[in-house]
Amino acid sequence: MRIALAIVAIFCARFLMGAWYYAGHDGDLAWQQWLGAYILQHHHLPHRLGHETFTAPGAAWVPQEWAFSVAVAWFTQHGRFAILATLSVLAAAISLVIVAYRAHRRGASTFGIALATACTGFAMLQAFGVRAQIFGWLFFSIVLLVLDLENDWMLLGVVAVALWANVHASALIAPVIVGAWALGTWIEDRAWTVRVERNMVFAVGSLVAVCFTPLLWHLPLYAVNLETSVIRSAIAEWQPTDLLFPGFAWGLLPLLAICCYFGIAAPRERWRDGMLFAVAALITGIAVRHIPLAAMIVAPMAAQRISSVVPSHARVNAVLQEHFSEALIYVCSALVCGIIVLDLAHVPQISGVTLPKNAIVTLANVPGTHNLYCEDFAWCSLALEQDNLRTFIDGRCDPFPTRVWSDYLAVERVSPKWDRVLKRWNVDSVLVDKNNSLAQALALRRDWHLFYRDRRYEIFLRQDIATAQR
Amino acid sequence: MRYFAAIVAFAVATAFAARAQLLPEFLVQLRDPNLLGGPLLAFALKSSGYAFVLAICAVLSGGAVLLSAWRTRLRGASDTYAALAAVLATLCLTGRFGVTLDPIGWICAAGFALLLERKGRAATMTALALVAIWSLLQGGAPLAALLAVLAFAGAWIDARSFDRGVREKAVLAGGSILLGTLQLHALPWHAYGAHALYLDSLLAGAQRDHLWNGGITVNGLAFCAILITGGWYGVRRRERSGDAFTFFALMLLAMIDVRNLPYFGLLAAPIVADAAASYYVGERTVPGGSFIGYAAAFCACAFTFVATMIGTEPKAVFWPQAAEQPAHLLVVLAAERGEHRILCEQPRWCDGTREIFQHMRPLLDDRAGWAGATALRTQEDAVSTHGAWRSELAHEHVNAIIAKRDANIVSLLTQTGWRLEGRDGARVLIVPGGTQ
Repeated sequence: MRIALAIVAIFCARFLMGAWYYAGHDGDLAWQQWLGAYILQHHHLPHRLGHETFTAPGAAWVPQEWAFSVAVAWFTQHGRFAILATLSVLAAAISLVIVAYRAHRRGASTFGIALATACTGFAMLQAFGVRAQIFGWLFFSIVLLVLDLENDWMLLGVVAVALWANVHASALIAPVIVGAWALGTWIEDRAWTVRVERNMVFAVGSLVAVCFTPLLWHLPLYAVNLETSVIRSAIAEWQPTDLLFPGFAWGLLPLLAICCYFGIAAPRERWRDGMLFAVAALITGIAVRHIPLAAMIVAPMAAQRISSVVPSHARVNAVLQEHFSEALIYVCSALVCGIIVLDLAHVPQISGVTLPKNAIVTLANVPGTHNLYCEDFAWCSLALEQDNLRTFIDGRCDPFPTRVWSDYLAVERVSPKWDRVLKRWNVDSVLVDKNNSLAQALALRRDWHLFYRDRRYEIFLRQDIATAQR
Repeated sequence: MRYFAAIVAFAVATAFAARAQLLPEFLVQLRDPNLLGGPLLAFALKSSGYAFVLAICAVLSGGAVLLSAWRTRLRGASDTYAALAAVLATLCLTGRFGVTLDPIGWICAAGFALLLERKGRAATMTALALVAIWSLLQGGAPLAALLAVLAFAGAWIDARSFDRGVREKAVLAGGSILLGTLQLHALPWHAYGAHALYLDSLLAGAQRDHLWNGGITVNGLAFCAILITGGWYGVRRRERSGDAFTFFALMLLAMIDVRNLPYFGLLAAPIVADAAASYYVGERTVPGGSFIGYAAAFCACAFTFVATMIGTEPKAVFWPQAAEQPAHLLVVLAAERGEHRILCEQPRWCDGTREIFQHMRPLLDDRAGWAGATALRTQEDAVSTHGAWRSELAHEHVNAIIAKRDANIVSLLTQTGWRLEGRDGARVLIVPGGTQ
């Protein structure tokens, strides 16, 4: 268990570097800050889009990440974004520690716990950021811990699900996980025992708990609709899992392979673990965003099984438990943490700013109100705080109607009708990555001219259009 | 439950025949100098019609499932678990139902895996003969070499000594590698071998079919069914390291390209079904009856099936249009004079172009392993319109492009002098020479 803490510390260092400079990379923080500021000012949630967008003002909106948005706004307004970044790191770290603890409770050996923790860390690495999902991981790991404990602490699990639902809509997976576990216990006991009843109550409780938000039943409805939404194809974390995805190849896949090699059908825990393993296997292929969740589910099982061939009394575990070995590992861990921090602080992809902040500010300084199309919709989140910019689609993305999304994708993929779409929506400014197809297409048009250019971004303005009103 | 696996195999053959489609890959396999299977099927078409070829492929697929179930049974599992193996294998096959040389590979792989688990000189010689036949007929024979090497490694690890059984496996592995290498009698060898297991799909710009496509798909569910069964019961349950090696190697191949999923299903399903059987059933029974008897029964059913198919289906002596092929656009292009260097947005759309139309040379087709690095880079850059894609197209003398109607390359080229030459619904053919 103590070796696992050294591994968690290494991942914390990597997470911290990602979180510290995260504001320069993720446009979502901009709209979350905007939403949070709105809530803090008006003391209620917005249920419709406003005139900050010109394609769908008045469209119904379920602001599912409202609690996280309030946190982003509060910490940013008070100049304490670093605290929020640190909290994100802590949330991920505690999730990893809980994975290690669950493995320890199952009697896993030192080597097994360390291996499972490291694999889970790799599964989390790519998805990590100052994001609502990260706090969702924390609540998810608490739910899994409560399931493992199998005592009367299930109320804590229900509370965790309710809090999770207020942070992120991924809480909808909780009733599925708890339900699968309850079903497993029912099959194991072959009768309606106290344990089965408790788990069933927990399952129903978690189903009710996801409605314990200001959005009430709209949140589950929203999550269900999202499963079939067209917007998934345009969002990176909704893309299907692939072998070449490092978080899968180096994180989840080894854990699944260990489970498949040894089997998780130990007599006592056969069906409970089996059901959770089945859910993990099924959600793995649906989207890359599920990889950390699936890893958290299967990691303790993998650690337990690998301990059957590398038991606690095996040489490697005996060596790992010696004081000298522990001290050596802690020193190495500290050194690695230091190297990670010092090294990544000078990597432009981590410590630099990749968002088009300059481009947006420059455009906002042009007189008049502009209808802005961003090649990546997340960039347009930066325009929300500018009074004279209206967005085609921004990082809130979910509430925009299908028709708007189709048009957005037609332009983003430079389909033959792209210029007609821009004309129909009266778009007068387009923000593009200068290496992509849309920049090439705009450069070939006489009715568009280059207005702004930096190392990565370009803004094109239409020649002959009157500016809009916001 | 005794006949359940046979019923599943019959259902596979029927479903295969009912789907009655031709997969584009077959068009490149048909005239491949390395494969005899293509010419054989072409001859069968000329002499007996498409229904006969379709029925033969269906029978081979059903036979592969049956062999998979029989392998489970020969490991000592009961009929119930043999049926489970048949169902799991069938799920993995369904996405690839269609006339190609694949069914030959499937039945050879299932038969080879069965022979790998037998002991004695006769089994070794039979397995080598099977590899020889496989390598003559279909491009997947290097898989036999891989399976034999994994079985040898597993047997050696399990025995912890180089005993007689391990020596037999070593001979089989050596022979399979030799026969698998002999198959690659045309250059470039490495490229051909890579294509055989679809490893070339990892090259940038190459045709790659992903296991997971977002949402819930039949392929994804089939893969998950085996993964979950394996996860529940463990592939090392029978203490055979070779089982685990085979399971994980094929699992990786299936994740590299879903066209390997049928091999994963046929070879891994018996392993996981047997693991499940060993969990619930203590006593293990091996079926009685002779191989000749079973083979005769299978052949009788197969003949009846083929006879019924060719008796009820029209005797068409031409290949049907391959699924998803832009045949209309290719015919439009062929009507134009001169040589055509054609780029297809999906390399698969260009399958068979060179063989069917004499004046067309595709930049890339299904076999990326054959293609040069420049062609692959041009394909990747042009489809994503990145880098110096226009000069790369010019350097490769590309003068025709088939792409989806709303692809970015279509918009960008039609803005700069290319014109629309034809369309077939979702796709368009563009060539240089229009007005801006």
